[in-house]
Amino acid sequence: MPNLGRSLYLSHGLTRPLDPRVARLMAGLLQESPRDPSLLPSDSVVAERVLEEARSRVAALAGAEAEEVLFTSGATEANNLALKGSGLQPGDEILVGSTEHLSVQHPARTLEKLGARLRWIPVDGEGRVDPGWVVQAIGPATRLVAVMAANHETGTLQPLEDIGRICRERGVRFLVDAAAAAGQLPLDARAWGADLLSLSAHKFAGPRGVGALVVRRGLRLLPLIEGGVQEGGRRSGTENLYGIAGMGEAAELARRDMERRAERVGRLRDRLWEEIQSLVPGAARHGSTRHSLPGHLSFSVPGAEGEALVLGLWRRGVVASSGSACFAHAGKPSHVLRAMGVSDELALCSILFAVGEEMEEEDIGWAAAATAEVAARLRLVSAASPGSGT
Amino acid sequence: MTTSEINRPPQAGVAAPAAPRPVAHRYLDTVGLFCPIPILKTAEAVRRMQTSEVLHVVSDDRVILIDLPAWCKSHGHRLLHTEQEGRQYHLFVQKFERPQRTPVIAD
Repeated sequence: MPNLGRSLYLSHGLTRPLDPRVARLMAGLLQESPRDPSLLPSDSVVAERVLEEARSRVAALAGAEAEEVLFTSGATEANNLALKGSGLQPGDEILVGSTEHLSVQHPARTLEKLGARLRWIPVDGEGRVDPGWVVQAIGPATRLVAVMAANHETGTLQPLEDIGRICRERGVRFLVDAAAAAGQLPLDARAWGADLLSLSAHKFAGPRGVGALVVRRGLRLLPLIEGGVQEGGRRSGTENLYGIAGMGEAAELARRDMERRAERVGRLRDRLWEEIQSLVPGAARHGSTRHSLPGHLSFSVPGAEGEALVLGLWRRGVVASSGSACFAHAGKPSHVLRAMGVSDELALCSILFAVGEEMEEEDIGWAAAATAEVAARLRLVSAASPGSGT
Repeated sequence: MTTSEINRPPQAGVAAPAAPRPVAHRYLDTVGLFCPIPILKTAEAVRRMQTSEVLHVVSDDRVILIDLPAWCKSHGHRLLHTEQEGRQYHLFVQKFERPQRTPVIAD
């Protein structure tokens, strides 16, 4: 059982706890639900008002118009819709970042199976895309480019304006997965030239299971889910009203608190890294330090397996993540780190701290000490066992 | 595309492979899923099996030819047989006693 005497949640990149203000709003709505069927007409009027208010708030967060916001079950669905709904034909080409989230990569690979040509956009050692590569790569068959705003595992930011401009000039759709970035730094679908932009509420302290796809006005999008009139027919099905309302509230709070939060979280993260560096010899950070989400700290401790480090820290009350749960459980190195040129051995020793604003200055010391302690033990074990490489 | 975990071997009528397939106790269809999902589902299925039982995994992601042998090796299981049939890959994994892969830190 973990030591619950002292605990620190450093997994804000994976998911953020529901903001109590959002919970209150949703609870209020749930309690308001009329039970009398004769009230249904006014119930639907209320529902519509709630939806449209949420739509405006999410649009404001995304830097888009309200009518461009399409509600989904999350960024995963939004990314699937963006790709599969773009009417790609066999022979059409899509360029996809090699560090994209699997919810972009897997549908892209499915489209490849159906006849599209898929090319992976390489990244440098920090995980950054070179817009020049995109310029020379776009050809007559290119229909879509997918580059995320910020990486979920390393926090690295991408040069979106440059890529968006190239795509606009060449008439190519630009999909920006902004799930990891939302609530951390300002989003601006318009300025980025994003034709499609995806969001997930739980990443900005909203409820789970709800998100949005921002679709540039006038862009044709074929629905994945058909058979209803909701969301202009582009995403049918009775809306997740309470989730959407919660997302709207979270979006507004995120926009309001963003700058202050980013400044605080960035400062704490930088100090935490300084402390870890001084206590853990050889700790190697991943991703860009200049172009990064404020709270993300991805690093490897050579000789200390990432999963074991996460477990050991959990026992000491520090909740971190191994960067990619999917890959960790499969015993595979992260595709993100791999694309950045990190060796498999080092990638399997990676861990992700994502700082939240509830962290205090005095947490830095003991979190870093706990990391050093667990890392030291693991390195001993690893050095002692024969044929150890992972 | 959906996957179903079916506790029975594939239907008759499939072209006979070159080498005989081992007898399988469980069958895992991961067609349509991309790695590492097939590995996760394999791990899940193997966890529920008895030692020395055999799992027949089907995948249409070529990466499984690298990932599954690596996973078997690091978890102490045996990869008995691999074959390709059209665009699908059939792999047969035998469960053995798992050695402790993740070191336990005594507190």
